[in-house]
Amino acid sequence: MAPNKNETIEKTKIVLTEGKDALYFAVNIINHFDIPYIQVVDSGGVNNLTNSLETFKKRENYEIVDSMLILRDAETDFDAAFRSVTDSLQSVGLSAPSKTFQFFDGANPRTAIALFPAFGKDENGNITSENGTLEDLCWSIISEKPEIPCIESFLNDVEKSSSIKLRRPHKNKLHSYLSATNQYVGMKIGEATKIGAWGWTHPKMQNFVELLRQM
Amino acid sequence: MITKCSISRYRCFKDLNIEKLAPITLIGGKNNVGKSTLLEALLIPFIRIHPYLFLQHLLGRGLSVISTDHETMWAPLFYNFDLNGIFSIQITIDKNSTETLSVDYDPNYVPEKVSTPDNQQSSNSFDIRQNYTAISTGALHIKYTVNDTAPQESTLTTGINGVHSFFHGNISFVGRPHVFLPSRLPISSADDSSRFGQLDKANKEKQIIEILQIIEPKISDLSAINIGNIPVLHIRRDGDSNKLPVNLSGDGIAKLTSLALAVANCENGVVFIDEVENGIHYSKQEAIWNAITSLAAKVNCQIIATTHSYEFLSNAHRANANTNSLSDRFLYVRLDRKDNVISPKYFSHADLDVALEANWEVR
Repeated sequence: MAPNKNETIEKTKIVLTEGKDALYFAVNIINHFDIPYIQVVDSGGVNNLTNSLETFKKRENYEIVDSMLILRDAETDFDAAFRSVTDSLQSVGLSAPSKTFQFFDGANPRTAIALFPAFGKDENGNITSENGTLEDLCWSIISEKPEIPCIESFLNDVEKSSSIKLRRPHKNKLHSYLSATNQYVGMKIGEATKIGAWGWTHPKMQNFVELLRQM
Repeated sequence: MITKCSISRYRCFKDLNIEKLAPITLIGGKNNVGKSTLLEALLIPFIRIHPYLFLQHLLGRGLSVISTDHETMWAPLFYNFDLNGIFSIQITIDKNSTETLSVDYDPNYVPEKVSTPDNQQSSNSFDIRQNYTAISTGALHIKYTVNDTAPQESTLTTGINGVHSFFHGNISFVGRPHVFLPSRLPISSADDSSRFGQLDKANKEKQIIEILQIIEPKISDLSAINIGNIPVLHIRRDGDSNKLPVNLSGDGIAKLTSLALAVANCENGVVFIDEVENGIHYSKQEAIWNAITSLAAKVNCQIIATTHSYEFLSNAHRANANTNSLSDRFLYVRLDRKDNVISPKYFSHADLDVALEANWEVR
């Protein structure tokens, strides 16, 4: 399939995501907060970040890019994920920030790394370094809804009553939630994100929104 | 094999350095960025003592008129139409031989003689016209240098008899096998037939038939048959009562026949192809490119081709990346124009894996 028009570099601020769910998440939060000068680019779901950055630098118009934000999941080891991204940035000749959610301003393009879920701040105002994923951030936002305990109970029962050990519970939880609604049933996470299944103005989104505004 | 090239002040290129070229090189980029011009520039050192050195390019682009006005004729060869400059094309062959061709325009060159066309000389009468155009003086001065040897020089001019080359001193040139397949012109039947004859003589015609069967599995035979005085390739399809001229078998078959014959006959040479995807349906491109590049590897033929097509690029990438013997022979070079400066970007299979997976524009 030929790339669509949006796949060319057109803006100076680039958010580089990994996979369609993160792409839709970033695009829709940017649209919601009307930050038109940012372009979100998906590097595909299976690509090595170093290779993606190497190829991205060869794309037409790359020279206009002055800020790059890399979005990734912290997964099971926040520190390892951060090291991996900084190693990739440096291996292709880009600068790397010393911690997440802040821009390294000493080079062109400026770079920053956002590792999800990153939904909190500590008592000193620093963004907390939790393990997890973008889905965990979404889940934490809807976790106060009354139906959530039912969903957690349902998934616990599934594991208890069968030999199934859920390997990606963050996805199981979100899909179970979506299937238990009238509005989002049958949708993928990215599709639900497009039509605002998560609360963009929720306080737990603020760390990410603030970072976008710094671009 | 051409491994790199450097072009200065030739047509749209002020300074272009291509630092690497692979056995299979695809060239991409937007319209008017110089893809076809790059192919033509790379071809020049291969035909350098032929009087039609630069006219071949005009013909390839559908312009078959020779002008005696040197401004019209030669200025488009020079960057910014500046006849006061010098343009040069340098290619490196197999990493160890560097050949440089530099050209300047000499407005004061006077040909030794100017004669009337042969057909008028042999006629008992001739037209008297009232407005014979004065024949311009001036010529292209061409200098060839191979490595550090003394330059060989020639002069190229146009007149009412056509194009003339004058050589200064001894010119020696070992021709290299090459074929240029333009995008706009049909390939000559005589050329195709001649190439087929070479293969047929060596009992290698089956390799062409097998490639054609990718498009039309019923093709069982290929032969050259004269139509009038011109040999024309014909195919036989299982079940048909007569053989059919290749050109009447569809654009895809005709294009693929020319392509396969060019490669098969270009041992240790280079095949240049402008807009390689033309005429070939996307569903067959991967298999065809795999077959063509496998054949090229077998005869040590370099292929340098331009393409506009994302589908073709994807298919060519898959065809070569998935075959061990071909995977390290491929390179995609995209030309970018920024602020009127054209520069190359190089994409390996790994780069294209990323770009195609992510649906990124790389044409």
